[in-house]
Amino acid sequence: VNGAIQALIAASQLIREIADMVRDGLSDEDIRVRLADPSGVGQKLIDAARSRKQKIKDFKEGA
Amino acid sequence: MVATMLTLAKRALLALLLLLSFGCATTDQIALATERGLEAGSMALDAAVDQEIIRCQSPDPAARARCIAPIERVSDGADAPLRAAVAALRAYWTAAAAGDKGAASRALLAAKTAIAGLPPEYFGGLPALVQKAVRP
Repeated sequence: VNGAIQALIAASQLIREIADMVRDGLSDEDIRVRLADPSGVGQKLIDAARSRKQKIKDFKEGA
Repeated sequence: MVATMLTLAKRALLALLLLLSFGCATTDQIALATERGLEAGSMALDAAVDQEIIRCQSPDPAARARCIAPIERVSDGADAPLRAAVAALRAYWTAAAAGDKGAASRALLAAKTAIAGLPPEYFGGLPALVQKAVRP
């Protein structure tokens, strides 16, 4: 239950961040960071996908 | 709660799309917004998986596997398009950093193709966002 609540809080936080981004315009600093290091782009997404897969596997195995 | 969150995520993506439709966005901004949209969709999918894990609690491993199977299929189905979209976004920023507009445009097109394969209930607003970026 705690995990689900934390995920919901994190998702709500992300949605707030997106809303802020819409209000403030997309950050030039974020763009500079990506131009400087394209290989780091999307790492959060890759890590999340890996974690999701492991979480389901653990659940099925009763871990 | 999850339904509310998904609605909020869709509204956020729609707001982004509206913002970008007013012509004030560069392709860099659209690539960044696409990445943020992917993160929002990924978080919504995470929340759905967590909810299903709670709902599917059972001492019987076979029952757990049966119950979790539908969301597992959605999650597994999102895996390859997400990785392809990330690869395309990395290609975009690499090309953008090099000043290669042609390669950047092709990379965004690849991102659009990848995103089209994502489950629409979590990533529904994104194809239109990338379409805007690659429109001639």
